[in-house]
Amino acid sequence: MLHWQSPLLLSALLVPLVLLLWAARYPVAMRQWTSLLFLWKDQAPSGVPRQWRWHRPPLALWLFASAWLCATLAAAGLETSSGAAQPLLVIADRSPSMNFPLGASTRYQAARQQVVEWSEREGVELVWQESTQPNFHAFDRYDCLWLSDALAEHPERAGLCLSGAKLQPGPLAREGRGRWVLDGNGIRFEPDVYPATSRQIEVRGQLPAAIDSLLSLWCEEQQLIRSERADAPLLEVVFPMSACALDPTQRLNGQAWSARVGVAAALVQAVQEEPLLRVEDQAVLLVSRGSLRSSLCQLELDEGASAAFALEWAAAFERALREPEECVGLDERRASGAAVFRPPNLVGPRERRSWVGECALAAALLALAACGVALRRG
Amino acid sequence: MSVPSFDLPCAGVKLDSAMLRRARALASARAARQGREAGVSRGGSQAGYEFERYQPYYPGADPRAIDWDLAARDDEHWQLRVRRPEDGARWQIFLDDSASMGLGPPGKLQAAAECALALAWLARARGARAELWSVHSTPLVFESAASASALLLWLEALRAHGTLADTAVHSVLAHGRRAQRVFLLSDFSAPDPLAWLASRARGARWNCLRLLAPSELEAPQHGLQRFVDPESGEERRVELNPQQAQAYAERQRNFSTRWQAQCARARVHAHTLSSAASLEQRFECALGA
Repeated sequence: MLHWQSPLLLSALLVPLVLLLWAARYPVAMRQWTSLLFLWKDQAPSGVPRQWRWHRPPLALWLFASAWLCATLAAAGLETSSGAAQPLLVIADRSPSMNFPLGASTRYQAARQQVVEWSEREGVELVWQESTQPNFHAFDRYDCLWLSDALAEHPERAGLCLSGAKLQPGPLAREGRGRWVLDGNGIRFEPDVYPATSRQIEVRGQLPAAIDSLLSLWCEEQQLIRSERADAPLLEVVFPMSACALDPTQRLNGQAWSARVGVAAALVQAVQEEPLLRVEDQAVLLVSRGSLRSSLCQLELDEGASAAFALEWAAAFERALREPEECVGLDERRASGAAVFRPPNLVGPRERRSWVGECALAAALLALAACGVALRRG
Repeated sequence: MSVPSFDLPCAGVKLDSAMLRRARALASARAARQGREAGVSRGGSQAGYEFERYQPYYPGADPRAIDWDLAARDDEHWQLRVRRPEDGARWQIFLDDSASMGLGPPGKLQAAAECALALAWLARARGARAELWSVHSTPLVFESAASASALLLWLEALRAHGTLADTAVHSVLAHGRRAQRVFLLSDFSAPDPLAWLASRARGARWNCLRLLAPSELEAPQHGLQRFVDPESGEERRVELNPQQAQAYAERQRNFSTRWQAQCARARVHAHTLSSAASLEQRFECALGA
């Protein structure tokens, strides 16, 4: 496979092509010195070059054209690589800021469009891996491309496509019935923005009494509405559907509290879920954005641990609570960089071979040969 | 008329000590051979000789010295031809240094200069005085080995350029009217080279060596060629094919034969040689061998 450092310079190849065509059309007469010119006087003068006839260009011109060709290849930075083209893994950032408008589309769509157009132009197959919190540094490889809106650190090996991130005013976070908003002048609070229908959490299953009462207190403090069925809830709390008995062999240990528990069927952890509490290496509390699932069907706190228990579970609820769609954190709304597009080197530097030196040497030798032939022919 | 100036391929002359030794050896060998043929020895040293007088035949004399014309008329009193060295004789060596002599390779002027060097040494070996002439240089007289460096410098200063006007040649040759031997080293590309022979003095021996470059003897085989005369700048474009090249070679040979025949009628030894011929060949041809 051929690669060029400066492909535009290949246009210089037109020069020898034009010269050869011209020489084939109008041949250059070789000068021959003679003191016997009178012996040629009775020969028919050559008027043939004016006719449409093709001639073989002289050797010196062929050598010159070859020298020019080699010099052009050297100037254009000819490189070759072995092996078939491999697909490019695009690590795409799908954090909320990627949905901010950019021109007629969003940051994500604009960046994706740029990558897709490049891949079609270069004939590169793309494999997409999208995440709201991509671990870019794990993919700093020649066969990867990072796609985001702004990044503090750029890759060393991977390609990079940044849509650019200008300041994006808008809601930052909900608090109670109101929200904090970033505008052109700073951050201000807008009260009474969210009605009760948009502050609902959905609770399903039989919650242990201690957790149930704690959740009610937390909802009151957060001004959230607890219900058993809600449209677009800010949090889904799911516990086992039926109560069970305490198991004296099973204990749940928090950071500063402990309890005897009864555990229903084991939870199957989803990719985005994070285990917060375990009983005998079995996750009993899984949280993700907008979801909190637990397999606890009974819980009886040990003495003197209620405060620590409340703090840890309240933290788990807050961690699982999602913001309304329009609320995006201040870090993402800040201006943090311009657009960048740096195509990846699909093949690592060790696998590439540069032919610049060989081409330059060949050009020099051919140029010398052309001079020699031209001088010899006079 | 302005004379065009070209950067000719072999305009200069370059001689070295090796060439000088070679020319001296060639001249010495030739002088010794002529001395033996004359049948007279001078204390073992051989030199150039010319007819001096007759002496009666004596037994044991070299039969090559017998004048057979006289013997045919009087078969009882055979006469031997006694020769003497050519002391005081004058040899004129004319080198054409016009632009056409700058063609080659090998350069025609270079070939002529090497030949002139050997001729000058031969003249010295035979006790004669060699006068070297060209149209564009002041003449040089070479009489002794002491002036060998001057001879080399004079030859190396030659440079093929300009034209060879007939008047200039006649003027040069007029100075050699009293020379016993005249050597013309040229390509005889002048408009009428045979007119030069009119300058010949009665009794003088003339030798013409016509030097041509290999590219003049054989035309290129094919392609569009631009034949250029280095003296006039005149040119002729010809699209050559192998047949035309062959026809040219034939015309060239015919011209040389005709030229030599005309020289022979004027009692002038003439030869045509390639500038690529060896010095020995050029030397012998220049001497009319």
